[in-house]
Amino acid sequence: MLSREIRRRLALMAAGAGLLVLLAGAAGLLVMYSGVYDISAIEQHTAPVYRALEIGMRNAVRRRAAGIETPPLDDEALVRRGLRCFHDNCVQCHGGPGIAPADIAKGLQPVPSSLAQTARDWRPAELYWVTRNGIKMAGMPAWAYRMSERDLWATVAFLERLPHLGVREYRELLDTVAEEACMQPEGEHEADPRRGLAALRQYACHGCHRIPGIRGPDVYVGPPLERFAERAYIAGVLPNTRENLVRWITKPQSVSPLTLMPDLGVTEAHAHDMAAYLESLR
Amino acid sequence: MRRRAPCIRASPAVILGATLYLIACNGEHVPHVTVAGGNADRGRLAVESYGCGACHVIPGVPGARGLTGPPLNSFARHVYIAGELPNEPELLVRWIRDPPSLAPQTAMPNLGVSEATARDIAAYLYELR
Repeated sequence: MLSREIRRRLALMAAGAGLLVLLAGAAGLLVMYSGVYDISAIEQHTAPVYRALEIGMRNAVRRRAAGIETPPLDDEALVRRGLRCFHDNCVQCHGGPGIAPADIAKGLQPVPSSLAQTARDWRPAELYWVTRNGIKMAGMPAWAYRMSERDLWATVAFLERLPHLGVREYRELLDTVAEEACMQPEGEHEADPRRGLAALRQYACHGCHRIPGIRGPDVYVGPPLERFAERAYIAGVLPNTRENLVRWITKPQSVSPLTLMPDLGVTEAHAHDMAAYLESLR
Repeated sequence: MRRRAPCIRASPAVILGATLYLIACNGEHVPHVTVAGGNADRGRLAVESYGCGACHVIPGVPGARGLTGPPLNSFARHVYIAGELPNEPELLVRWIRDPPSLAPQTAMPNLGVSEATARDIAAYLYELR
Protein backbone atom coordinates (compact mmCIF):
# COMPACT_ATOMS: atom_id res chain seq x y z
CA MET A 1 0.00 0.00 0.00
CA LEU A 2 1.22 3.44 -0.87
CA SER A 3 1.34 5.88 1.93
CA ARG A 4 -1.16 8.70 1.93
CA GLU A 5 1.64 11.19 1.32
CA ILE A 6 2.81 9.38 -1.83
CA ARG A 7 -0.72 9.09 -3.19
CA ARG A 8 -1.25 12.77 -2.60
CA ARG A 9 1.94 13.54 -4.52
CA LEU A 10 0.99 11.24 -7.38
CA ALA A 11 -2.41 12.87 -7.66
CA LEU A 12 -0.79 16.30 -7.70
CA MET A 13 1.64 15.21 -10.41
CA ALA A 14 -1.17 13.78 -12.54
CA ALA A 15 -3.17 16.98 -12.16
CA GLY A 16 -0.08 19.00 -13.05
CA ALA A 17 0.57 16.90 -16.14
CA GLY A 18 -3.06 17.25 -17.25
CA LEU A 19 -2.86 20.99 -16.78
CA LEU A 20 0.35 21.14 -18.83
CA VAL A 21 -1.27 19.22 -21.69
CA LEU A 22 -4.25 21.55 -21.66
CA LEU A 23 -1.99 24.61 -21.58
CA ALA A 24 0.09 23.22 -24.45
CA GLY A 25 -3.07 22.63 -26.47
CA ALA A 26 -4.32 26.14 -25.75
CA ALA A 27 -0.88 27.56 -26.64
CA GLY A 28 -0.98 25.62 -29.92
CA LEU A 29 -4.40 27.06 -30.73
CA LEU A 30 -3.18 30.55 -29.93
CA VAL A 31 -0.11 30.14 -32.14
CA MET A 32 -2.36 29.03 -35.01
CA TYR A 33 -4.80 31.83 -34.42
CA SER A 34 -2.19 34.55 -34.09
CA GLY A 35 -0.82 33.86 -37.57
CA VAL A 36 2.82 33.67 -36.45
CA TYR A 37 3.37 30.19 -37.91
CA ASP A 38 4.84 30.62 -41.39
CA ILE A 39 2.56 28.83 -43.85
CA SER A 40 4.59 29.95 -46.89
CA ALA A 41 5.51 27.03 -49.11
CA ILE A 42 8.93 28.66 -49.63
CA GLU A 43 9.88 28.28 -45.98
CA GLN A 44 10.23 24.86 -44.38
CA HIS A 45 8.15 23.49 -41.56
CA THR A 46 9.96 23.62 -38.25
CA ALA A 47 11.69 20.29 -37.58
CA PRO A 48 9.27 19.17 -34.82
CA VAL A 49 6.22 20.02 -36.94
CA TYR A 50 7.66 18.18 -39.94
CA ARG A 51 8.48 15.11 -37.87
CA ALA A 52 5.10 15.10 -36.17
CA LEU A 53 3.23 15.34 -39.49
CA GLU A 54 5.43 12.69 -41.10
CA ILE A 55 5.09 10.19 -38.26
CA GLY A 56 1.37 10.87 -37.88
CA MET A 57 0.79 10.32 -41.60
CA ARG A 58 2.90 7.14 -41.71
CA ASN A 59 1.14 5.59 -38.72
CA ALA A 60 -2.32 6.59 -39.92
CA VAL A 61 -1.71 4.91 -43.28
CA ARG A 62 -0.23 1.80 -41.67
CA ARG A 63 -3.19 1.45 -39.35
CA ARG A 64 -5.81 1.84 -42.08
CA ALA A 65 -4.07 -0.41 -44.57
CA ALA A 66 -3.61 -3.20 -42.03
CA GLY A 67 -6.85 -5.00 -42.92
CA ILE A 68 -6.54 -4.73 -46.70
CA GLU A 69 -5.95 -7.95 -48.58
CA THR A 70 -3.54 -7.60 -51.48
CA PRO A 71 -4.44 -9.45 -54.69
CA PRO A 72 -1.70 -11.06 -56.83
CA LEU A 73 0.20 -8.20 -58.48
CA ASP A 74 2.71 -9.96 -60.72
CA ASP A 75 0.42 -10.34 -63.73
CA GLU A 76 2.19 -8.67 -66.67
CA ALA A 77 -1.04 -7.26 -68.14
CA LEU A 78 -1.89 -5.69 -64.80
CA VAL A 79 1.57 -4.11 -64.57
CA ARG A 80 1.20 -2.59 -68.04
CA ARG A 81 -2.26 -1.31 -67.26
CA GLY A 82 -0.79 0.25 -64.14
CA LEU A 83 1.96 1.90 -66.16
CA ARG A 84 -0.69 3.64 -68.25
CA CYS A 85 -2.37 4.97 -65.10
CA PHE A 86 1.00 5.90 -63.58
CA HIS A 87 2.27 7.68 -66.67
CA ASP A 88 -0.97 9.62 -67.19
CA ASN A 89 -1.78 10.51 -63.59
CA CYS A 90 1.18 10.13 -61.21
CA VAL A 91 4.16 11.43 -63.20
CA GLN A 92 2.83 15.00 -63.34
CA CYS A 93 3.54 15.38 -59.61
CA HIS A 94 5.85 12.51 -58.66
CA GLY A 95 8.04 12.37 -61.76
CA GLY A 96 9.31 9.07 -63.11
CA PRO A 97 12.54 7.48 -64.35
CA GLY A 98 14.37 10.38 -66.00
CA ILE A 99 11.15 12.44 -66.00
CA ALA A 100 10.81 15.61 -63.94
CA PRO A 101 7.56 16.50 -62.23
CA ALA A 102 5.58 19.31 -63.89
CA ASP A 103 6.09 22.87 -62.64
CA ILE A 104 2.81 22.77 -60.71
CA ALA A 105 4.28 20.07 -58.48
CA LYS A 106 7.84 21.26 -57.98
CA GLY A 107 7.02 23.81 -55.32
CA LEU A 108 4.51 21.68 -53.46
CA GLN A 109 5.08 21.22 -49.79
CA PRO A 110 5.36 18.47 -48.76
CA VAL A 111 7.24 17.53 -51.92
CA PRO A 112 5.53 14.66 -53.77
CA SER A 113 7.67 11.64 -53.01
CA SER A 114 9.67 9.85 -55.64
CA LEU A 115 7.53 6.74 -56.02
CA ALA A 116 10.51 4.48 -56.68
CA GLN A 117 11.52 5.15 -53.09
CA THR A 118 7.96 4.93 -51.79
CA ALA A 119 7.42 1.59 -53.52
CA ARG A 120 10.46 0.17 -51.74
CA ASP A 121 9.51 1.54 -48.34
CA TRP A 122 5.75 0.93 -48.26
CA ARG A 123 3.72 -2.26 -48.46
CA PRO A 124 1.41 -2.74 -51.47
CA ALA A 125 -1.72 -2.43 -49.31
CA GLU A 126 -0.42 0.92 -48.04
CA LEU A 127 0.31 2.14 -51.57
CA TYR A 128 -3.19 1.09 -52.53
CA TRP A 129 -4.72 2.86 -49.55
CA VAL A 130 -2.89 6.14 -50.24
CA THR A 131 -3.64 6.03 -53.96
CA ARG A 132 -7.28 5.30 -53.31
CA ASN A 133 -7.89 7.72 -50.43
CA GLY A 134 -5.34 10.49 -50.84
CA ILE A 135 -3.90 12.39 -47.88
CA LYS A 136 -5.40 15.50 -46.35
CA MET A 137 -3.37 18.71 -46.67
CA ALA A 138 -0.61 16.90 -48.56
CA GLY A 139 -1.73 17.62 -52.12
CA MET A 140 -2.37 13.90 -52.68
CA PRO A 141 -5.88 13.48 -54.10
CA ALA A 142 -8.14 10.48 -53.66
CA TRP A 143 -8.01 8.54 -56.91
CA ALA A 144 -11.01 6.42 -55.93
CA TYR A 145 -13.16 8.91 -57.82
CA ARG A 146 -11.04 8.83 -61.02
CA MET A 147 -9.90 5.22 -61.22
CA SER A 148 -11.68 1.92 -61.16
CA GLU A 149 -10.85 -0.51 -58.39
CA ARG A 150 -8.96 -2.67 -60.87
CA ASP A 151 -6.86 0.25 -62.06
CA LEU A 152 -6.02 1.30 -58.52
CA TRP A 153 -4.50 -2.14 -57.96
CA ALA A 154 -2.93 -2.05 -61.42
CA THR A 155 -1.17 1.18 -60.42
CA VAL A 156 0.13 -0.52 -57.29
CA ALA A 157 1.26 -3.48 -59.41
CA PHE A 158 3.26 -1.09 -61.56
CA LEU A 159 4.69 0.72 -58.52
CA GLU A 160 6.09 -2.62 -57.35
CA ARG A 161 7.91 -2.85 -60.69
CA LEU A 162 9.04 0.79 -60.78
CA PRO A 163 12.20 0.56 -58.62
CA HIS A 164 13.52 -2.12 -60.97
CA LEU A 165 13.26 0.00 -64.12
CA GLY A 166 15.93 2.25 -65.56
CA VAL A 167 15.12 4.96 -68.07
CA ARG A 168 15.48 2.61 -71.05
CA GLU A 169 13.34 -0.14 -69.51
CA TYR A 170 10.66 2.37 -68.56
CA ARG A 171 10.48 3.73 -72.10
CA GLU A 172 10.47 0.28 -73.64
CA LEU A 173 7.67 -0.90 -71.40
CA LEU A 174 5.70 2.29 -72.06
CA ASP A 175 5.95 1.61 -75.81
CA THR A 176 4.15 -1.70 -75.30
CA VAL A 177 1.26 -0.13 -73.39
CA ALA A 178 -2.08 0.72 -74.98
CA GLU A 179 -3.05 4.42 -75.25
CA GLU A 180 -6.44 3.67 -73.72
CA ALA A 181 -6.81 5.88 -70.66
CA CYS A 182 -7.06 4.65 -67.12
CA MET A 183 -10.67 3.63 -66.36
CA GLN A 184 -13.21 5.71 -64.44
CA PRO A 185 -14.64 3.94 -61.40
CA GLU A 186 -17.61 1.67 -61.96
CA GLY A 187 -20.89 3.14 -60.76
CA GLU A 188 -23.42 1.67 -58.39
CA HIS A 189 -26.95 1.09 -59.62
CA GLU A 190 -28.89 2.70 -56.81
CA ALA A 191 -28.27 6.41 -56.16
CA ASP A 192 -27.14 6.91 -52.58
CA PRO A 193 -27.12 10.26 -50.75
CA ARG A 194 -24.20 9.31 -48.48
CA ARG A 195 -22.01 8.46 -51.44
CA GLY A 196 -23.31 11.65 -53.03
CA LEU A 197 -22.01 13.76 -50.17
CA ALA A 198 -18.56 12.24 -50.63
CA ALA A 199 -18.75 12.69 -54.40
CA LEU A 200 -19.64 16.39 -54.03
CA ARG A 201 -16.42 16.82 -52.06
CA GLN A 202 -14.40 14.73 -54.48
CA TYR A 203 -15.42 16.83 -57.48
CA ALA A 204 -14.55 20.06 -55.60
CA CYS A 205 -18.17 21.29 -55.65
CA HIS A 206 -17.64 23.01 -52.30
CA GLY A 207 -14.91 25.11 -53.86
CA CYS A 208 -17.68 27.28 -55.32
CA HIS A 209 -20.89 26.30 -53.49
CA ARG A 210 -21.76 26.34 -49.83
CA ILE A 211 -23.22 22.89 -49.22
CA PRO A 212 -24.81 21.84 -45.92
CA GLY A 213 -22.90 18.92 -44.47
CA ILE A 214 -19.57 19.91 -46.04
CA ARG A 215 -16.96 21.87 -44.15
CA GLY A 216 -15.36 24.18 -46.67
CA PRO A 217 -14.57 27.76 -47.54
CA ASP A 218 -17.24 30.42 -47.10
CA VAL A 219 -17.78 30.91 -50.83
CA TYR A 220 -20.42 32.52 -53.00
CA VAL A 221 -19.05 31.78 -56.48
CA GLY A 222 -22.01 29.56 -57.29
CA PRO A 223 -25.27 29.77 -55.36
CA PRO A 224 -25.35 28.23 -51.88
CA LEU A 225 -27.14 24.88 -52.08
CA GLU A 226 -29.06 25.05 -48.81
CA ARG A 227 -32.61 23.69 -49.07
CA PHE A 228 -31.91 22.50 -52.57
CA ALA A 229 -34.81 20.03 -52.48
CA GLU A 230 -37.24 22.94 -52.21
CA ARG A 231 -35.77 24.97 -55.05
CA ALA A 232 -37.99 25.24 -58.10
CA TYR A 233 -35.19 25.70 -60.64
CA ILE A 234 -31.68 24.53 -61.29
CA ALA A 235 -29.37 27.37 -62.34
CA GLY A 236 -32.42 29.53 -63.01
CA VAL A 237 -33.23 27.63 -66.19
CA LEU A 238 -34.22 23.98 -65.57
CA PRO A 239 -37.11 22.69 -63.47
CA ASN A 240 -35.63 20.89 -60.49
CA THR A 241 -36.10 17.21 -61.36
CA ARG A 242 -33.66 14.32 -60.87
CA GLU A 243 -33.17 13.94 -64.60
CA ASN A 244 -32.48 17.64 -65.11
CA LEU A 245 -30.17 17.78 -62.13
CA VAL A 246 -28.05 14.90 -63.42
CA ARG A 247 -27.94 16.57 -66.81
CA TRP A 248 -26.90 19.88 -65.26
CA ILE A 249 -24.19 18.29 -63.09
CA THR A 250 -22.69 16.26 -65.93
CA LYS A 251 -23.02 18.79 -68.76
CA PRO A 252 -23.88 22.27 -67.46
CA GLN A 253 -22.63 24.02 -70.58
CA SER A 254 -24.92 22.00 -72.82
CA VAL A 255 -27.83 23.62 -70.94
CA SER A 256 -26.43 27.14 -70.49
CA PRO A 257 -23.50 27.75 -72.84
CA LEU A 258 -22.35 30.80 -70.88
CA THR A 259 -22.71 29.39 -67.39
CA LEU A 260 -19.66 29.83 -65.20
CA MET A 261 -20.12 26.31 -63.93
CA PRO A 262 -17.62 24.08 -65.70
CA ASP A 263 -17.96 20.51 -66.91
CA LEU A 264 -16.15 18.65 -64.14
CA GLY A 265 -16.24 15.29 -65.85
CA VAL A 266 -18.68 13.88 -63.32
CA THR A 267 -19.65 10.30 -64.13
CA GLU A 268 -23.34 9.50 -64.53
CA ALA A 269 -23.30 7.31 -61.40
CA HIS A 270 -21.60 9.97 -59.29
CA ALA A 271 -24.07 12.60 -60.57
CA HIS A 272 -27.00 10.40 -59.49
CA ASP A 273 -25.46 10.05 -56.04
CA MET A 274 -24.91 13.82 -55.81
CA ALA A 275 -28.48 14.47 -56.91
CA ALA A 276 -29.77 12.09 -54.24
CA TYR A 277 -27.87 14.06 -51.61
CA LEU A 278 -28.97 17.47 -52.88
CA GLU A 279 -32.57 16.27 -52.95
CA SER A 280 -32.28 15.45 -49.26
CA LEU A 281 -31.51 19.10 -48.36
CA ARG A 282 -34.65 20.68 -46.93
CA MET B 1 -5.15 49.56 -28.09
CA ARG B 2 -4.56 49.97 -24.37
CA ARG B 3 -2.93 47.14 -22.58
CA ARG B 4 -4.12 46.10 -19.16
CA ALA B 5 -2.59 43.86 -16.62
CA PRO B 6 -4.39 40.51 -16.83
CA CYS B 7 -7.19 40.54 -14.28
CA ILE B 8 -8.50 37.01 -14.90
CA ARG B 9 -6.46 34.02 -13.90
CA ALA B 10 -5.23 32.44 -17.12
CA SER B 11 -6.79 29.04 -16.60
CA PRO B 12 -6.84 26.72 -19.63
CA ALA B 13 -10.60 27.10 -19.81
CA VAL B 14 -10.31 30.87 -20.07
CA ILE B 15 -7.59 30.67 -22.73
CA LEU B 16 -9.58 28.11 -24.73
CA GLY B 17 -12.74 30.19 -24.39
CA ALA B 18 -10.96 33.34 -25.51
CA THR B 19 -9.43 31.50 -28.46
CA LEU B 20 -12.77 30.12 -29.59
CA TYR B 21 -14.31 33.59 -29.17
CA LEU B 22 -11.59 35.12 -31.33
CA ILE B 23 -12.01 32.42 -33.95
CA ALA B 24 -15.76 32.88 -34.00
CA CYS B 25 -15.32 36.64 -34.46
CA ASN B 26 -12.82 36.26 -37.26
CA GLY B 27 -15.16 37.59 -39.96
CA GLU B 28 -14.36 38.02 -43.64
CA HIS B 29 -13.81 41.45 -45.00
CA VAL B 30 -16.67 42.39 -47.32
CA PRO B 31 -16.06 45.66 -49.17
CA HIS B 32 -18.92 48.11 -49.31
CA VAL B 33 -20.46 48.46 -52.77
CA THR B 34 -22.27 51.66 -53.66
CA VAL B 35 -24.78 52.05 -56.46
CA ALA B 36 -24.88 55.47 -58.11
CA GLY B 37 -28.25 57.07 -57.35
CA GLY B 38 -29.43 54.08 -55.31
CA ASN B 39 -31.04 54.33 -51.89
CA ALA B 40 -31.10 51.14 -49.84
CA ASP B 41 -34.09 52.11 -47.70
CA ARG B 42 -36.22 52.85 -50.73
CA GLY B 43 -34.84 49.69 -52.27
CA ARG B 44 -36.06 47.52 -49.42
CA LEU B 45 -39.57 48.91 -49.82
CA ALA B 46 -39.40 48.35 -53.58
CA VAL B 47 -38.30 44.73 -53.05
CA GLU B 48 -41.39 44.32 -50.90
CA SER B 49 -43.79 45.97 -53.32
CA TYR B 50 -42.52 44.12 -56.40
CA GLY B 51 -42.98 40.83 -54.56
CA CYS B 52 -39.38 39.68 -55.11
CA GLY B 53 -39.83 37.58 -51.98
CA ALA B 54 -42.28 35.31 -53.76
CA CYS B 55 -39.26 33.76 -55.50
CA HIS B 56 -36.28 34.75 -53.34
CA VAL B 57 -35.27 34.49 -49.71
CA ILE B 58 -34.30 38.09 -48.85
CA PRO B 59 -33.14 38.99 -45.34
CA GLY B 60 -34.91 42.03 -43.87
CA VAL B 61 -37.95 41.71 -46.13
CA PRO B 62 -41.08 40.34 -44.46
CA GLY B 63 -42.39 37.17 -46.08
CA ALA B 64 -39.49 36.89 -48.54
CA ARG B 65 -39.12 33.12 -48.36
CA GLY B 66 -39.51 31.96 -51.97
CA LEU B 67 -37.24 29.23 -53.29
CA THR B 68 -37.97 29.55 -56.99
CA GLY B 69 -34.88 31.70 -57.44
CA PRO B 70 -31.70 31.48 -55.38
CA PRO B 71 -31.68 32.83 -51.79
CA LEU B 72 -30.15 36.32 -51.70
CA ASN B 73 -28.56 36.05 -48.25
CA SER B 74 -25.13 37.70 -48.18
CA PHE B 75 -25.74 39.03 -51.67
CA ALA B 76 -22.83 41.48 -51.37
CA ARG B 77 -20.56 38.46 -51.18
CA HIS B 78 -21.97 36.70 -54.24
CA VAL B 79 -19.36 36.67 -56.99
CA TYR B 80 -21.77 36.24 -59.90
CA ILE B 81 -25.33 37.07 -60.86
CA ALA B 82 -27.46 34.25 -62.27
CA GLY B 83 -24.38 32.08 -62.76
CA GLU B 84 -23.34 34.07 -65.82
CA LEU B 85 -22.54 37.70 -64.95
CA PRO B 86 -19.98 39.31 -62.66
CA ASN B 87 -21.77 40.77 -59.65
CA GLU B 88 -21.14 44.47 -60.36
CA PRO B 89 -23.54 47.36 -59.72
CA GLU B 90 -24.26 48.36 -63.32
CA LEU B 91 -24.81 44.77 -64.42
CA LEU B 92 -27.03 44.10 -61.43
CA VAL B 93 -29.17 47.12 -62.31
CA ARG B 94 -29.54 45.87 -65.87
CA TRP B 95 -30.30 42.38 -64.58
CA ILE B 96 -33.05 43.63 -62.26
CA ARG B 97 -34.58 45.69 -65.08
CA ASP B 98 -34.55 43.02 -67.78
CA PRO B 99 -33.13 39.59 -66.90
CA PRO B 100 -33.95 37.83 -70.22
CA SER B 101 -31.98 40.49 -72.13
CA LEU B 102 -28.84 39.23 -70.36
CA ALA B 103 -29.66 35.51 -70.06
CA PRO B 104 -32.39 34.53 -72.54
CA GLN B 105 -33.13 31.18 -70.86
CA THR B 106 -33.58 32.53 -67.35
CA ALA B 107 -36.76 31.79 -65.46
CA MET B 108 -36.65 35.27 -63.92
CA PRO B 109 -39.16 37.52 -65.66
CA ASN B 110 -38.92 41.15 -66.65
CA LEU B 111 -40.92 42.85 -63.89
CA GLY B 112 -40.94 46.28 -65.48
CA VAL B 113 -38.72 47.85 -62.81
CA SER B 114 -37.65 51.42 -63.63
CA GLU B 115 -34.01 52.43 -63.78
CA ALA B 116 -34.27 54.48 -60.57
CA THR B 117 -36.02 51.71 -58.65
CA ALA B 118 -33.57 49.09 -59.92
CA ARG B 119 -30.77 51.27 -58.51
CA ASP B 120 -32.52 51.40 -55.15
CA ILE B 121 -33.03 47.62 -55.14
CA ALA B 122 -29.40 47.03 -56.07
CA ALA B 123 -28.33 49.36 -53.24
CA TYR B 124 -30.43 47.30 -50.82
CA LEU B 125 -29.08 43.97 -52.05
CA TYR B 126 -25.51 45.18 -51.52
CA GLU B 127 -26.45 45.91 -47.91
CA LEU B 128 -26.91 42.14 -47.47
CA ARG B 129 -23.47 41.26 -46.25
